[in-house]
Amino acid sequence: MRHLPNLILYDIRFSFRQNRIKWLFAAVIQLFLCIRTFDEVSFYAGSYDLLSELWPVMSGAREYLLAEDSSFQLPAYWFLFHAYLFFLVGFYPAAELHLGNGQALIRTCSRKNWIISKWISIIINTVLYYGLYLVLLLAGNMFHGGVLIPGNGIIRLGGIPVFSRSRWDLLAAFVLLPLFMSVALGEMQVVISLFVGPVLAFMAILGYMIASVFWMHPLLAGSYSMLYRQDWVSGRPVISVATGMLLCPALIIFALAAGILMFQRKDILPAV
Amino acid sequence: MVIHIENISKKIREATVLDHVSLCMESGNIYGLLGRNGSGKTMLMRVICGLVRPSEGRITIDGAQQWKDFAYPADLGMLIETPVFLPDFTGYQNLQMLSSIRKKIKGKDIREALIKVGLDPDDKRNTRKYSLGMRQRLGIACAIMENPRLLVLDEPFNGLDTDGCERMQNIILEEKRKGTLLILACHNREELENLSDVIYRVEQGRFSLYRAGAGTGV
Repeated sequence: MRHLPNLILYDIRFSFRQNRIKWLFAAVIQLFLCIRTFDEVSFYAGSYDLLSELWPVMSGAREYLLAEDSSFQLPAYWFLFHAYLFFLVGFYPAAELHLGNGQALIRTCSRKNWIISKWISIIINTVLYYGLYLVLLLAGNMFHGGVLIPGNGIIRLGGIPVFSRSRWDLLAAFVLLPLFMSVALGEMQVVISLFVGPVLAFMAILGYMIASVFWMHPLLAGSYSMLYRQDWVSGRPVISVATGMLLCPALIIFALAAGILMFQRKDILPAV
Repeated sequence: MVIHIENISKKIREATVLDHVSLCMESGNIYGLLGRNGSGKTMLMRVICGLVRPSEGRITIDGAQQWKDFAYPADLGMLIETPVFLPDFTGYQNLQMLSSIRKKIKGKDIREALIKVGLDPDDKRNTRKYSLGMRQRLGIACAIMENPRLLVLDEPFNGLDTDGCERMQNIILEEKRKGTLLILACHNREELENLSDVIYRVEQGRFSLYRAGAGTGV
Protein backbone atom coordinates (compact mmCIF):
# COMPACT_ATOMS: atom_id res chain seq x y z
CA MET A 1 0.00 0.00 0.00
CA ARG A 2 3.11 2.22 0.23
CA HIS A 3 2.71 3.84 -3.17
CA LEU A 4 -1.09 3.71 -3.39
CA PRO A 5 -1.82 7.42 -2.70
CA ASN A 6 0.81 8.44 -5.28
CA LEU A 7 -0.63 5.96 -7.73
CA ILE A 8 -4.16 7.30 -7.27
CA LEU A 9 -2.94 10.84 -7.97
CA TYR A 10 -1.03 9.54 -10.98
CA ASP A 11 -4.17 7.83 -12.32
CA ILE A 12 -6.31 10.93 -11.83
CA ARG A 13 -3.81 13.11 -13.68
CA PHE A 14 -3.11 10.54 -16.36
CA SER A 15 -6.74 9.60 -17.02
CA PHE A 16 -7.77 13.24 -17.42
CA ARG A 17 -4.85 13.94 -19.67
CA GLN A 18 -5.51 10.82 -21.74
CA ASN A 19 -9.25 11.53 -21.93
CA ARG A 20 -9.27 15.27 -22.38
CA ILE A 21 -10.75 15.16 -25.89
CA LYS A 22 -13.34 12.66 -24.67
CA TRP A 23 -14.22 15.01 -21.81
CA LEU A 24 -14.68 17.83 -24.30
CA PHE A 25 -17.12 15.67 -26.25
CA ALA A 26 -18.79 14.66 -22.98
CA ALA A 27 -19.50 18.34 -22.32
CA VAL A 28 -20.91 18.75 -25.85
CA ILE A 29 -23.14 15.68 -25.50
CA GLN A 30 -24.37 16.77 -22.09
CA LEU A 31 -25.06 20.27 -23.38
CA PHE A 32 -27.11 18.75 -26.18
CA LEU A 33 -29.02 16.62 -23.64
CA CYS A 34 -29.63 19.72 -21.50
CA ILE A 35 -30.98 21.70 -24.44
CA ARG A 36 -33.31 18.84 -25.40
CA THR A 37 -34.31 18.46 -21.75
CA PHE A 38 -35.28 22.10 -21.33
CA ASP A 39 -37.24 21.95 -24.59
CA GLU A 40 -39.19 18.96 -23.27
CA VAL A 41 -39.68 20.39 -19.78
CA SER A 42 -41.06 23.64 -21.13
CA PHE A 43 -43.44 21.65 -23.32
CA TYR A 44 -44.68 19.03 -20.80
CA ALA A 45 -44.16 20.41 -17.30
CA GLY A 46 -44.41 24.13 -17.76
CA SER A 47 -42.51 24.84 -14.55
CA TYR A 48 -38.78 24.27 -14.15
CA ASP A 49 -37.54 22.08 -11.32
CA LEU A 50 -34.49 19.84 -11.17
CA LEU A 51 -36.45 16.59 -10.97
CA SER A 52 -38.40 17.31 -14.14
CA GLU A 53 -35.14 18.26 -15.79
CA LEU A 54 -33.48 14.99 -14.79
CA TRP A 55 -36.45 13.02 -16.03
CA PRO A 56 -35.83 12.96 -19.82
CA VAL A 57 -32.40 11.32 -19.41
CA MET A 58 -32.98 9.27 -16.27
CA SER A 59 -36.46 8.01 -17.12
CA GLY A 60 -35.23 5.37 -19.57
CA ALA A 61 -37.97 3.19 -21.05
CA ARG A 62 -41.08 1.50 -19.75
CA GLU A 63 -41.01 -2.28 -19.53
CA TYR A 64 -40.95 -3.74 -23.02
CA LEU A 65 -43.83 -6.12 -23.57
CA LEU A 66 -43.68 -8.35 -26.57
CA ALA A 67 -46.87 -8.00 -28.54
CA GLU A 68 -47.85 -8.10 -32.17
CA ASP A 69 -48.09 -4.34 -32.42
CA SER A 70 -45.14 -3.53 -30.15
CA SER A 71 -41.79 -2.29 -31.39
CA PHE A 72 -38.56 -2.29 -29.39
CA GLN A 73 -36.99 1.13 -29.02
CA LEU A 74 -33.93 2.19 -27.08
CA PRO A 75 -34.47 5.24 -24.88
CA ALA A 76 -32.11 7.47 -26.85
CA TYR A 77 -31.13 10.08 -24.23
CA TRP A 78 -30.67 7.50 -21.47
CA PHE A 79 -28.60 5.28 -23.74
CA LEU A 80 -26.46 8.11 -25.09
CA PHE A 81 -25.74 9.41 -21.59
CA HIS A 82 -24.64 6.03 -20.25
CA ALA A 83 -22.95 4.65 -23.35
CA TYR A 84 -20.74 7.72 -23.57
CA LEU A 85 -19.84 7.39 -19.91
CA PHE A 86 -18.66 3.81 -20.49
CA PHE A 87 -16.74 4.96 -23.56
CA LEU A 88 -15.10 7.62 -21.38
CA VAL A 89 -14.05 5.46 -18.44
CA GLY A 90 -13.52 2.02 -19.96
CA PHE A 91 -10.53 2.49 -22.21
CA TYR A 92 -8.00 4.18 -19.96
CA PRO A 93 -6.90 1.31 -17.66
CA ALA A 94 -6.03 -1.11 -20.47
CA ALA A 95 -4.23 1.67 -22.35
CA GLU A 96 -2.28 2.65 -19.25
CA LEU A 97 -1.34 -0.95 -18.55
CA HIS A 98 0.46 -1.27 -21.84
CA LEU A 99 2.10 2.13 -21.67
CA GLY A 100 5.81 1.55 -21.94
CA ASN A 101 5.19 -2.17 -21.49
CA GLY A 102 4.16 -1.90 -17.85
CA GLN A 103 6.46 0.97 -16.79
CA ALA A 104 3.81 2.26 -14.40
CA LEU A 105 2.86 -1.22 -13.19
CA ILE A 106 6.38 -2.16 -12.03
CA ARG A 107 6.47 1.02 -9.96
CA THR A 108 3.31 0.13 -8.05
CA CYS A 109 4.79 -2.51 -5.71
CA SER A 110 1.80 -4.84 -6.18
CA ARG A 111 -0.87 -5.60 -8.72
CA LYS A 112 -3.51 -5.10 -6.06
CA ASN A 113 -2.46 -1.46 -5.77
CA TRP A 114 -2.79 -1.04 -9.51
CA ILE A 115 -6.35 -2.42 -9.59
CA ILE A 116 -7.46 -0.45 -6.51
CA SER A 117 -6.14 2.73 -8.04
CA LYS A 118 -7.99 2.12 -11.31
CA TRP A 119 -11.14 1.24 -9.32
CA ILE A 120 -10.94 4.59 -7.53
CA SER A 121 -10.21 6.47 -10.72
CA ILE A 122 -13.38 5.06 -12.31
CA ILE A 123 -15.46 6.16 -9.33
CA ILE A 124 -13.98 9.67 -9.54
CA ASN A 125 -14.51 9.92 -13.29
CA THR A 126 -18.10 8.67 -13.05
CA VAL A 127 -18.96 11.04 -10.21
CA LEU A 128 -17.48 13.93 -12.19
CA TYR A 129 -19.45 12.93 -15.29
CA TYR A 130 -22.70 12.98 -13.33
CA GLY A 131 -21.53 16.14 -11.56
CA LEU A 132 -20.92 17.88 -14.87
CA TYR A 133 -24.43 17.02 -16.03
CA LEU A 134 -25.97 18.26 -12.78
CA VAL A 135 -24.00 21.51 -13.03
CA LEU A 136 -25.22 22.05 -16.58
CA LEU A 137 -28.81 21.33 -15.52
CA LEU A 138 -28.50 23.66 -12.53
CA ALA A 139 -27.11 26.40 -14.76
CA GLY A 140 -30.04 25.95 -17.15
CA ASN A 141 -32.44 25.80 -14.23
CA MET A 142 -31.14 29.09 -12.85
CA PHE A 143 -31.25 30.62 -16.31
CA HIS A 144 -34.96 29.70 -16.57
CA GLY A 145 -35.65 30.87 -13.00
CA GLY A 146 -36.59 27.36 -11.88
CA VAL A 147 -36.50 25.67 -8.46
CA LEU A 148 -34.66 22.56 -7.25
CA ILE A 149 -37.68 20.61 -5.99
CA PRO A 150 -41.33 21.55 -6.58
CA GLY A 151 -42.63 23.44 -3.55
CA ASN A 152 -45.89 21.51 -3.35
CA GLY A 153 -44.04 18.18 -3.16
CA ILE A 154 -45.76 16.94 -6.30
CA ILE A 155 -43.40 15.37 -8.78
CA ARG A 156 -44.23 15.71 -12.42
CA LEU A 157 -42.89 12.90 -14.52
CA GLY A 158 -43.01 13.79 -18.16
CA GLY A 159 -45.58 16.40 -17.17
CA ILE A 160 -47.78 13.91 -15.30
CA PRO A 161 -48.14 14.58 -11.57
CA VAL A 162 -47.33 11.39 -9.65
CA PHE A 163 -47.11 11.33 -5.87
CA SER A 164 -44.98 12.67 -3.08
CA ARG A 165 -41.72 11.02 -2.02
CA SER A 166 -39.26 11.99 0.65
CA ARG A 167 -36.22 14.00 -0.43
CA TRP A 168 -33.98 11.04 0.34
CA ASP A 169 -36.10 8.78 -1.88
CA LEU A 170 -35.90 11.30 -4.67
CA LEU A 171 -32.16 11.73 -4.34
CA ALA A 172 -31.68 7.96 -4.30
CA ALA A 173 -33.97 7.30 -7.27
CA PHE A 174 -32.92 10.19 -9.51
CA VAL A 175 -29.20 10.42 -8.82
CA LEU A 176 -27.64 7.91 -6.41
CA LEU A 177 -29.00 4.72 -7.92
CA PRO A 178 -28.13 5.63 -11.53
CA LEU A 179 -24.70 6.74 -10.30
CA PHE A 180 -24.09 3.48 -8.44
CA MET A 181 -25.26 1.51 -11.46
CA SER A 182 -22.88 3.42 -13.72
CA VAL A 183 -19.95 2.92 -11.35
CA ALA A 184 -20.75 -0.81 -11.02
CA LEU A 185 -20.94 -1.37 -14.78
CA GLY A 186 -17.90 0.83 -15.40
CA GLU A 187 -15.90 -1.26 -12.94
CA MET A 188 -17.12 -4.50 -14.54
CA GLN A 189 -16.23 -3.16 -17.97
CA VAL A 190 -12.69 -2.36 -16.89
CA VAL A 191 -12.15 -5.80 -15.38
CA ILE A 192 -13.40 -7.40 -18.60
CA SER A 193 -11.24 -5.04 -20.68
CA LEU A 194 -8.07 -6.31 -19.01
CA PHE A 195 -8.73 -9.75 -20.42
CA VAL A 196 -10.53 -9.28 -23.72
CA GLY A 197 -9.47 -5.73 -24.60
CA PRO A 198 -11.34 -2.45 -24.15
CA VAL A 199 -13.34 -2.57 -27.39
CA LEU A 200 -14.93 -5.96 -26.71
CA ALA A 201 -15.54 -5.01 -23.08
CA PHE A 202 -17.28 -1.81 -24.17
CA MET A 203 -19.46 -3.76 -26.59
CA ALA A 204 -20.28 -6.31 -23.88
CA ILE A 205 -21.45 -3.56 -21.53
CA LEU A 206 -23.51 -1.93 -24.27
CA GLY A 207 -25.10 -5.32 -24.94
CA TYR A 208 -25.87 -5.66 -21.25
CA MET A 209 -27.48 -2.19 -21.23
CA ILE A 210 -29.60 -3.06 -24.28
CA ALA A 211 -30.63 -6.33 -22.60
CA SER A 212 -31.64 -4.28 -19.56
CA VAL A 213 -33.99 -2.28 -21.75
CA PHE A 214 -35.40 -5.39 -23.40
CA TRP A 215 -35.96 -7.41 -20.22
CA MET A 216 -36.98 -5.99 -16.88
CA HIS A 217 -35.08 -8.18 -14.46
CA PRO A 218 -33.46 -7.43 -11.09
CA LEU A 219 -30.14 -8.86 -12.29
CA LEU A 220 -30.04 -6.64 -15.37
CA ALA A 221 -28.65 -3.65 -13.52
CA GLY A 222 -29.37 -1.14 -16.30
CA SER A 223 -33.00 -1.14 -15.15
CA TYR A 224 -32.01 0.49 -11.86
CA SER A 225 -31.00 3.64 -13.69
CA MET A 226 -34.39 3.89 -15.43
CA LEU A 227 -37.02 5.71 -13.38
CA TYR A 228 -39.80 4.15 -15.46
CA ARG A 229 -38.74 0.71 -14.16
CA GLN A 230 -38.73 1.59 -10.46
CA ASP A 231 -41.53 0.06 -8.44
CA TRP A 232 -43.00 3.39 -7.37
CA VAL A 233 -43.42 4.42 -11.00
CA SER A 234 -44.07 1.10 -12.75
CA GLY A 235 -46.30 -0.29 -10.00
CA ARG A 236 -44.45 -3.62 -10.26
CA PRO A 237 -42.15 -4.77 -7.44
CA VAL A 238 -39.38 -5.97 -9.76
CA ILE A 239 -36.98 -3.02 -9.61
CA SER A 240 -36.81 -1.13 -6.34
CA VAL A 241 -34.45 1.46 -4.95
CA ALA A 242 -33.72 -0.82 -1.98
CA THR A 243 -32.71 -3.78 -4.21
CA GLY A 244 -30.63 -1.51 -6.41
CA MET A 245 -28.88 0.01 -3.43
CA LEU A 246 -27.82 -3.48 -2.40
CA LEU A 247 -27.04 -4.90 -5.83
CA CYS A 248 -24.96 -2.04 -7.27
CA PRO A 249 -22.51 -1.66 -4.34
CA ALA A 250 -22.25 -5.48 -4.28
CA LEU A 251 -21.33 -5.41 -7.98
CA ILE A 252 -18.78 -2.67 -7.33
CA ILE A 253 -17.11 -4.72 -4.58
CA PHE A 254 -17.33 -7.88 -6.69
CA ALA A 255 -15.62 -6.12 -9.61
CA LEU A 256 -12.77 -5.07 -7.32
CA ALA A 257 -12.37 -8.52 -5.76
CA ALA A 258 -12.59 -10.33 -9.11
CA GLY A 259 -10.23 -7.79 -10.67
CA ILE A 260 -7.63 -8.31 -7.96
CA LEU A 261 -7.87 -12.10 -8.08
CA MET A 262 -7.78 -12.39 -11.87
CA PHE A 263 -5.21 -9.68 -12.45
CA GLN A 264 -2.76 -11.41 -10.10
CA ARG A 265 -2.50 -14.23 -12.64
CA LYS A 266 -2.51 -12.16 -15.78
CA ASP A 267 0.53 -12.09 -18.04
CA ILE A 268 1.34 -8.59 -19.25
CA LEU A 269 2.29 -9.11 -22.86
CA PRO A 270 2.43 -6.51 -25.64
CA ALA A 271 -1.01 -5.38 -26.80
CA VAL A 272 -1.86 -6.86 -30.18
CA MET B 1 21.74 -8.32 -5.07
CA VAL B 2 21.62 -11.99 -6.03
CA ILE B 3 18.93 -13.39 -8.32
CA HIS B 4 18.34 -17.14 -8.33
CA ILE B 5 16.25 -18.39 -11.21
CA GLU B 6 15.30 -21.98 -10.45
CA ASN B 7 13.80 -24.27 -13.01
CA ILE B 8 11.59 -21.62 -14.60
CA SER B 9 9.24 -22.73 -17.38
CA LYS B 10 6.59 -20.77 -19.18
CA LYS B 11 3.96 -22.19 -21.44
CA ILE B 12 1.66 -19.99 -23.48
CA ARG B 13 -1.19 -22.12 -24.74
CA GLU B 14 0.65 -25.20 -26.02
CA ALA B 15 3.96 -23.54 -26.76
CA THR B 16 6.85 -23.81 -24.30
CA VAL B 17 8.46 -20.37 -24.31
CA LEU B 18 10.84 -21.00 -21.40
CA ASP B 19 12.03 -24.53 -20.74
CA HIS B 20 13.38 -25.24 -17.24
CA VAL B 21 15.70 -22.26 -17.01
CA SER B 22 18.08 -22.10 -14.05
CA LEU B 23 20.50 -19.18 -13.68
CA CYS B 24 22.20 -17.22 -10.95
CA MET B 25 23.02 -13.53 -11.30
CA GLU B 26 24.91 -11.18 -9.00
CA SER B 27 25.27 -7.42 -8.65
CA GLY B 28 28.04 -5.63 -10.45
CA ASN B 29 27.89 -7.92 -13.50
CA ILE B 30 26.40 -7.67 -16.92
CA TYR B 31 24.54 -10.77 -18.11
CA GLY B 32 24.05 -10.94 -21.84
CA LEU B 33 21.33 -12.96 -23.54
CA LEU B 34 22.07 -13.98 -27.08
CA GLY B 35 19.47 -15.56 -29.30
CA ARG B 36 17.17 -15.23 -32.26
CA ASN B 37 13.82 -13.50 -32.25
CA GLY B 38 11.30 -15.56 -30.33
CA SER B 39 13.94 -17.67 -28.59
CA GLY B 40 12.75 -16.65 -25.10
CA LYS B 41 15.09 -13.76 -24.12
CA THR B 42 12.35 -11.19 -23.71
CA MET B 43 10.06 -13.67 -21.97
CA LEU B 44 12.69 -14.36 -19.30
CA MET B 45 13.09 -10.61 -18.85
CA ARG B 46 9.34 -10.22 -18.47
CA VAL B 47 9.30 -13.01 -15.89
CA ILE B 48 12.12 -11.39 -13.88
CA CYS B 49 10.36 -8.01 -14.03
CA GLY B 50 7.10 -9.54 -12.76
CA LEU B 51 5.11 -8.88 -15.92
CA VAL B 52 4.65 -12.58 -16.64
CA ARG B 53 4.11 -15.37 -14.11
CA PRO B 54 6.08 -18.54 -14.76
CA SER B 55 4.17 -21.78 -15.24
CA GLU B 56 6.63 -23.51 -12.92
CA GLY B 57 9.82 -22.80 -11.01
CA ARG B 58 10.68 -19.84 -8.85
CA ILE B 59 12.75 -16.70 -8.71
CA THR B 60 14.34 -15.44 -5.52
CA ILE B 61 16.01 -12.08 -5.09
CA ASP B 62 18.22 -11.79 -2.02
CA GLY B 63 16.32 -14.72 -0.51
CA ALA B 64 12.84 -13.26 -1.07
CA GLN B 65 10.61 -15.23 -3.40
CA GLN B 66 8.82 -13.54 -6.25
CA TRP B 67 5.00 -13.81 -6.22
CA LYS B 68 5.20 -14.78 -2.56
CA ASP B 69 7.16 -11.99 -0.89
CA PHE B 70 7.00 -9.42 -3.68
CA ALA B 71 5.57 -8.95 -7.16
CA TYR B 72 8.06 -6.56 -8.72
CA PRO B 73 11.72 -6.35 -7.77
CA ALA B 74 12.35 -3.17 -5.79
CA ASP B 75 14.71 -0.75 -7.53
CA LEU B 76 14.00 -2.18 -10.95
CA GLY B 77 14.59 -0.24 -14.15
CA MET B 78 13.54 -1.79 -17.42
CA LEU B 79 13.38 -1.21 -21.12
CA ILE B 80 11.52 -4.00 -22.85
CA GLU B 81 10.74 -3.72 -26.54
CA THR B 82 9.70 -0.41 -28.09
CA PRO B 83 8.96 2.14 -25.41
CA VAL B 84 5.58 3.90 -25.62
CA PHE B 85 4.98 7.27 -24.04
CA LEU B 86 2.14 9.75 -23.69
CA PRO B 87 2.26 11.44 -27.09
CA ASP B 88 1.00 14.81 -25.83
CA PHE B 89 3.63 15.18 -23.10
CA THR B 90 7.23 16.26 -23.46
CA GLY B 91 9.94 13.74 -22.60
CA TYR B 92 10.53 15.41 -19.26
CA GLN B 93 6.80 15.42 -18.40
CA ASN B 94 6.51 11.72 -19.26
CA LEU B 95 9.33 10.81 -16.90
CA GLN B 96 8.02 13.18 -14.23
CA MET B 97 4.63 11.47 -14.41
CA LEU B 98 6.13 8.00 -13.98
CA SER B 99 8.48 9.11 -11.22
CA SER B 100 5.52 10.52 -9.28
CA ILE B 101 4.49 6.95 -8.40
CA ARG B 102 7.57 6.04 -6.37
CA LYS B 103 8.52 9.63 -5.50
CA LYS B 104 12.13 8.56 -5.12
CA ILE B 105 13.71 11.22 -7.26
CA LYS B 106 13.40 14.93 -7.93
CA GLY B 107 13.28 17.00 -11.10
CA LYS B 108 17.05 17.39 -11.23
CA ASP B 109 17.50 13.60 -11.32
CA ILE B 110 15.14 13.39 -14.30
CA ARG B 111 17.06 16.18 -16.03
CA GLU B 112 20.34 14.36 -15.37
CA ALA B 113 18.98 11.12 -16.82
CA LEU B 114 17.78 12.94 -19.94
CA ILE B 115 21.11 14.71 -20.42
CA LYS B 116 22.93 11.41 -19.93
CA VAL B 117 21.06 9.82 -22.85
CA GLY B 118 21.56 12.90 -25.02
CA LEU B 119 18.09 14.46 -24.80
CA ASP B 120 17.40 18.07 -23.91
CA PRO B 121 15.29 18.26 -20.72
CA ASP B 122 13.98 21.67 -21.84
CA ASP B 123 12.84 20.37 -25.23
CA LYS B 124 9.23 21.56 -25.55
CA ARG B 125 8.34 19.08 -28.27
CA ASN B 126 5.82 16.38 -27.41
CA THR B 127 7.01 12.79 -27.71
CA ARG B 128 4.61 12.43 -30.65
CA LYS B 129 7.25 14.33 -32.63
CA TYR B 130 10.14 12.18 -31.41
CA SER B 131 12.02 9.94 -33.82
CA LEU B 132 12.45 6.23 -33.05
CA GLY B 133 15.96 6.89 -31.74
CA MET B 134 14.76 9.70 -29.46
CA ARG B 135 12.02 7.46 -28.06
CA GLN B 136 14.61 4.78 -27.42
CA ARG B 137 16.79 7.29 -25.59
CA LEU B 138 13.81 8.39 -23.53
CA GLY B 139 13.07 4.75 -22.71
CA ILE B 140 16.64 4.32 -21.48
CA ALA B 141 16.38 7.51 -19.39
CA CYS B 142 13.17 6.13 -17.92
CA ALA B 143 14.93 2.89 -16.99
CA ILE B 144 17.93 4.53 -15.30
CA MET B 145 16.41 7.68 -13.77
CA GLU B 146 15.56 6.12 -10.39
CA ASN B 147 19.04 4.66 -9.89
CA PRO B 148 17.94 1.02 -10.11
CA ARG B 149 19.89 -1.85 -8.58
CA LEU B 150 18.53 -4.16 -11.25
CA LEU B 151 18.49 -2.96 -14.85
CA VAL B 152 16.80 -5.05 -17.54
CA LEU B 153 17.49 -3.85 -21.07
CA ASP B 154 16.00 -5.55 -24.10
CA GLU B 155 17.62 -4.42 -27.34
CA PRO B 156 18.76 -1.08 -25.92
CA PHE B 157 20.67 -0.19 -29.10
CA ASN B 158 17.60 -0.39 -31.33
CA GLY B 159 17.14 2.72 -33.43
CA LEU B 160 20.18 4.48 -31.97
CA ASP B 161 22.76 6.30 -34.09
CA THR B 162 26.51 6.04 -33.46
CA ASP B 163 26.43 8.72 -30.78
CA GLY B 164 23.46 7.03 -29.13
CA CYS B 165 25.20 3.63 -29.15
CA GLU B 166 28.34 5.12 -27.58
CA ARG B 167 26.30 6.86 -24.89
CA MET B 168 24.41 3.65 -24.25
CA GLN B 169 27.62 1.67 -23.84
CA ASN B 170 28.94 4.29 -21.40
CA ILE B 171 25.71 4.21 -19.41
CA ILE B 172 25.81 0.41 -19.18
CA LEU B 173 29.43 0.41 -18.01
CA GLU B 174 28.75 3.23 -15.53
CA GLU B 175 25.80 1.32 -14.09
CA LYS B 176 28.02 -1.74 -13.73
CA ARG B 177 30.63 0.31 -11.87
CA LYS B 178 27.90 1.50 -9.51
CA GLY B 179 27.19 -2.15 -8.66
CA THR B 180 23.96 -2.51 -10.65
CA LEU B 181 22.99 -5.97 -11.87
CA LEU B 182 22.40 -5.67 -15.61
CA ILE B 183 20.57 -8.08 -17.86
CA LEU B 184 21.05 -7.28 -21.50
CA ALA B 185 19.53 -8.79 -24.62
CA CYS B 186 20.96 -7.82 -27.96
CA HIS B 187 21.05 -9.12 -31.52
CA ASN B 188 24.54 -7.79 -32.09
CA ARG B 189 26.91 -10.48 -30.86
CA GLU B 190 29.97 -8.22 -30.99
CA GLU B 191 28.29 -5.54 -28.89
CA LEU B 192 27.14 -8.14 -26.39
CA GLU B 193 30.58 -9.75 -26.15
CA ASN B 194 32.22 -6.38 -25.54
CA LEU B 195 29.89 -5.45 -22.73
CA SER B 196 28.85 -8.65 -20.95
CA ASP B 197 30.63 -10.51 -18.20
CA VAL B 198 28.56 -13.63 -18.75
CA ILE B 199 26.67 -14.56 -21.90
CA TYR B 200 23.89 -17.11 -22.21
CA ARG B 201 22.81 -18.49 -25.54
CA VAL B 202 19.05 -18.85 -25.80
CA GLU B 203 17.46 -21.37 -28.14
CA GLN B 204 13.81 -22.39 -28.07
CA GLY B 205 13.42 -21.40 -24.43
CA ARG B 206 16.56 -23.22 -23.28
CA PHE B 207 19.48 -21.30 -21.82
CA SER B 208 23.08 -22.50 -22.12
CA LEU B 209 26.29 -20.84 -21.06
CA TYR B 210 28.01 -19.25 -24.05
CA ARG B 211 30.75 -17.41 -22.24
CA ALA B 212 31.59 -17.43 -18.53
CA GLY B 213 33.24 -14.43 -16.91
CA ALA B 214 36.05 -14.35 -14.37
CA GLY B 215 34.88 -13.53 -10.86
CA THR B 216 31.21 -13.85 -11.70
CA GLY B 217 30.73 -17.20 -10.04
CA VAL B 218 29.53 -18.77 -13.31
